[in-house]
Amino acid sequence: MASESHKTDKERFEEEVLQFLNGLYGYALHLTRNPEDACDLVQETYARAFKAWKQYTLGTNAKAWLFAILRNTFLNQRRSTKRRPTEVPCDWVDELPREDVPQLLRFGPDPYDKFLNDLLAENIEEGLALLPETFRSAVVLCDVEGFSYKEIAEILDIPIGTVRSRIHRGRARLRELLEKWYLEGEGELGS
Amino acid sequence: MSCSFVRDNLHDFVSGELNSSDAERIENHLQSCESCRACVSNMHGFRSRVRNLLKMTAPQELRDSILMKTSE
Repeated sequence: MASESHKTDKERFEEEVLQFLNGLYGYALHLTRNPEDACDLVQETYARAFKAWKQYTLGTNAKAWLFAILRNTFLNQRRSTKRRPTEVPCDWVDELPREDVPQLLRFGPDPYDKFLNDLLAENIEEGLALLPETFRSAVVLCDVEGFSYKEIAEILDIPIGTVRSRIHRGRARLRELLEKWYLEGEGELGS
Repeated sequence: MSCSFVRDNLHDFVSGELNSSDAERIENHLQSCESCRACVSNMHGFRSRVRNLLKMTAPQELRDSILMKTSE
């Protein structure tokens, strides 16, 4: 095993950035909604990251750096292929209440636990897919990947206030959709 | 401290983005307010369920392929 000072670029790269592979793959899946495209996107992300690795400064946030590369790569590919994902119109954004406490209290604690336990990954993915990309990204980066608002602002290249608003509204909309499907299904969620 | 303060700051609170003094004010309020406690608990539960369900594992072939390319 190489000592710290004798590690090659490849060894440092593998050690410091491959640890984020699972998270990057998950985020890529949310962006592309297709496992094959997600794999291609992650591979391209790592190829770009490896090329830029020598300019990368140790001690900076490698995880946020990689997620930003992945998202920029995705946006560039989408632009170049002129493929746009199917997204619902965003009229709901302005209609959302400032906070969504009534929904949170609608079930009470025990039925709410049942609702949460009945949720499937497919339900959440379907709900997220109906959010505009920036809202989906903000929610996934915060709630799944655990990034701070500041890190998300850097990854998405938007102000922190906008991140906050997208997380609030994206979460509220996602939960609203899931609860609606749950109540319509009389306590069942289809996969 | 009122319930409206908790509700206005609910998302930032569960995200861990409130400053420590506001977070402490909310923690204190939750000890005596059942309704706000239920709100916060449901929101924490929702986030945690989303996180657990959406954690992915990348395919081994993808890992192998990246390692192979960085060796070229």
